[in-house]
Amino acid sequence: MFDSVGLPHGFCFLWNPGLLWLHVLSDSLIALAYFLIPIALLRVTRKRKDIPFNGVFFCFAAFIVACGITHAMDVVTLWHPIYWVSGILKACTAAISILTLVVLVRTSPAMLAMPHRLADRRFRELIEDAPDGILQVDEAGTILIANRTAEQMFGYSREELLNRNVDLLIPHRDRAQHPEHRKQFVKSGVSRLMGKAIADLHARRKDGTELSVEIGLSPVETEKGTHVTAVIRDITERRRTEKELERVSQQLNSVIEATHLGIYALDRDWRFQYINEDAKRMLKTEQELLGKDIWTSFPNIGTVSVEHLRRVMVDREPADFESLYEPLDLWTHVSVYPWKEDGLTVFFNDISERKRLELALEKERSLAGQRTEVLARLSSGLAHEIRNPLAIIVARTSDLAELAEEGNVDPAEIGKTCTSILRTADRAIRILRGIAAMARVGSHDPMQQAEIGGIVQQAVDLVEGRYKAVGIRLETTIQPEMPLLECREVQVGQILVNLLNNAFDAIESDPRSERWVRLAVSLQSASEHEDNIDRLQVDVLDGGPGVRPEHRERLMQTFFTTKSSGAGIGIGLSVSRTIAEDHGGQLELTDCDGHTCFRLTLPVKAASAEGVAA
Amino acid sequence: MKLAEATALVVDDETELLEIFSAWLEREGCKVLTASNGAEALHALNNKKIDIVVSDVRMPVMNGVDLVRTINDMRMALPSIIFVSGYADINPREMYGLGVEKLIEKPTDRKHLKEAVQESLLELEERWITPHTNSNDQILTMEIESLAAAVQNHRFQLGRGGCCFSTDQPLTVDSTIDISLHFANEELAFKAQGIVRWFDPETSRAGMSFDYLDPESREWVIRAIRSAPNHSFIPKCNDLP
Repeated sequence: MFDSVGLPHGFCFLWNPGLLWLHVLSDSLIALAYFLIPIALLRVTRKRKDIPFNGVFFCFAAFIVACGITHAMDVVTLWHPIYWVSGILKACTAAISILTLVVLVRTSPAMLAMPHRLADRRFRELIEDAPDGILQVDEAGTILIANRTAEQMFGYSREELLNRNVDLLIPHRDRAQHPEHRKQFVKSGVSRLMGKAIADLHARRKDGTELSVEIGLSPVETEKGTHVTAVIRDITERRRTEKELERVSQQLNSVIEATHLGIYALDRDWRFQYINEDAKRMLKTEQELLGKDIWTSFPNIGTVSVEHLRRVMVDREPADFESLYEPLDLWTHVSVYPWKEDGLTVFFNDISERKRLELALEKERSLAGQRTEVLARLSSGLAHEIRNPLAIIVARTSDLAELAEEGNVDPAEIGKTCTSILRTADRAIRILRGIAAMARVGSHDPMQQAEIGGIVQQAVDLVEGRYKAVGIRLETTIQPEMPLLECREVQVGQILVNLLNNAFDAIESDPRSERWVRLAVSLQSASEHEDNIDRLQVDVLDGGPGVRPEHRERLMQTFFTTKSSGAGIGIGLSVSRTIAEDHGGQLELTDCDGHTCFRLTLPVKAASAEGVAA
Repeated sequence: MKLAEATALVVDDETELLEIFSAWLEREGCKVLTASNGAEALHALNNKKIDIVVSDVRMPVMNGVDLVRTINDMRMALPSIIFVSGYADINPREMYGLGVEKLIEKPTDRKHLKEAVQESLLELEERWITPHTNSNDQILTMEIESLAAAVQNHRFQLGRGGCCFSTDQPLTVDSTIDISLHFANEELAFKAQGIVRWFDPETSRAGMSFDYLDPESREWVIRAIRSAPNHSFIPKCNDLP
């Protein structure tokens, strides 16, 4: 390298070795750099095939290489004067440079037309980290675009998603239908939101777990065909909440339904805001009631209920009561509560059964009470009725004892006295029997053949005393040749005593009454009756004022009485009627020759009516 | 009056008993009239002088109680009256107050009725001579300021056969009693034995019939009874008439 001349180009470099080496090193490095830069450039273009303007890059690469060669020549020509070679290389470099300039100028507009890298990046960011997963698939279902959210949502990396079929993300069971759906969608060409109409749309993650999704689809027309953009929202959480809500709501409903409580709520204008199935069922209404007002929908609500409802609406204090809804004969227990600021909720349930039992129990109790009363009067009645016969018996017997003491043994006298005693004792016994019969329930007795004359006599015995005491004439007529009556003697006797007592009271109640009572027994022939059985008819007429028309119907009903309490002994009319019916007969109030007439009709042969407690 | 000298009226709606009682009294020589009810009895009372009435209570038309009331209201001369009946019908205070002398329970026998009638026919002077032989169930001693005031205040009253008085001590009905009262103002002692016929805890009053009056008391008591004709056998000692 270093010739005899000394330093190469010594003249230029002022015979300074430092200066020489400065130039040599700089040019060498430049040449090196200029050889390496194009390689780097080319690598970039190879890697990012999507970056356009390859031509420009090539030009630049060539141009830089040529420049590198020029600089390398500069170093070489310091020692070797191959200036023709370096000159030609330089000329080539110049040519490439001019070419590059021309190419650059020509592609400048295209470059400038490219979308701003900055805006592009913003879109990317938008799509990349959108709150929902975004995919774009082609007609075959191949995934072309997938954003980062999609990656996270499904657990796949972008490489694992791109160019795979979107079926990958669909649960196995749904995969079969998907291609068809895709075809349909593409055909329709309209954006739609799936997952709302379809109850449960699911997608499948990489790890096999599923998520509930809502998918928005829109078609995108490209040169390569219709692509579909899918925006996928993970609604697993929402679905879960919805399901929980559904479950809670069903739970609440099942609790409400289980109670069989009728429930409804009214707003301030008395319109139904809520009404449950049980309420509708109990009120026997199918119609849609929401929004309708209660007064027009149910015009026959009882006054009790109406009052309570109105009061709660005003006072805002709960109310609790029982009420009968007449149209359906429905007894309800009702609770009304104030609701929100100005409405009402009403809870009610059907207590008809309980009410019936209550009323039946009350009736039982009342009857039992009546019986107790009757029995009390019977016992005092007994004491009174027996006393006189006993007084007579005691008197006569003490007389007999005295006679015996005195040794006065006149048979006739003794005989007379004894007869008197026995007769009186007999009377006492009849009274006792009569009263014992009144005291008995008698409904459990067996049906037996009885002679009506005996029953009538016993009843008369019992009431005779009262009749005589106030001067009412009692007449009995029994048709001769009456057949035996199959019945419960005690009970039939009770009916007769009841009727005779009533007749007595009727007469006593009105001073203008005719003071007589007639009891007549006759036979109704079998031919008059469907079942072809003879009927025995007992009419009890009295000279009293008669039953007022308005009382007639109610007289037979359970608790109705026109009598002041404390009158007479015995059972009441309603019980009498029940006994008659138990025997297959009847007891009715009728008119006989213008007089009040209670007619007891009994079939001579027992009807099959079961004996129920009287 | 002796039974043989008396005229009795027997009232009962039970015919046979009427027969029996009449026979019993007639055996003693008594003159007997009969009636079936209170109305008939009044009729008889108006027509004849009757010394004693033996009557049932429960009768039709007019019962025994109404009979006695009517007799009182009409201020008729009151014979001795004996009720023969069941006790359930009767309020003793009321009955003794109206002037009924004895209440006999049915059934009864001849002896019992005879004795009752005989006793009732006794004059006041013949009565209350014999003290009780057995010890008395109850003993009552009281110091009272003034007889006049006591009578005024219904705290002590004399009747034809007994008295009513005020007492805080509860007394048992139908049991014997020995009573000693001292009236300070009048300086009178009242000593009697008898039977408590009624006791009212609400008003603290009691009524007793006399069996015995001690000699000291007898004189002024009999005088008092005679001078103030009180229909009551035992007065009621209440504010009502």
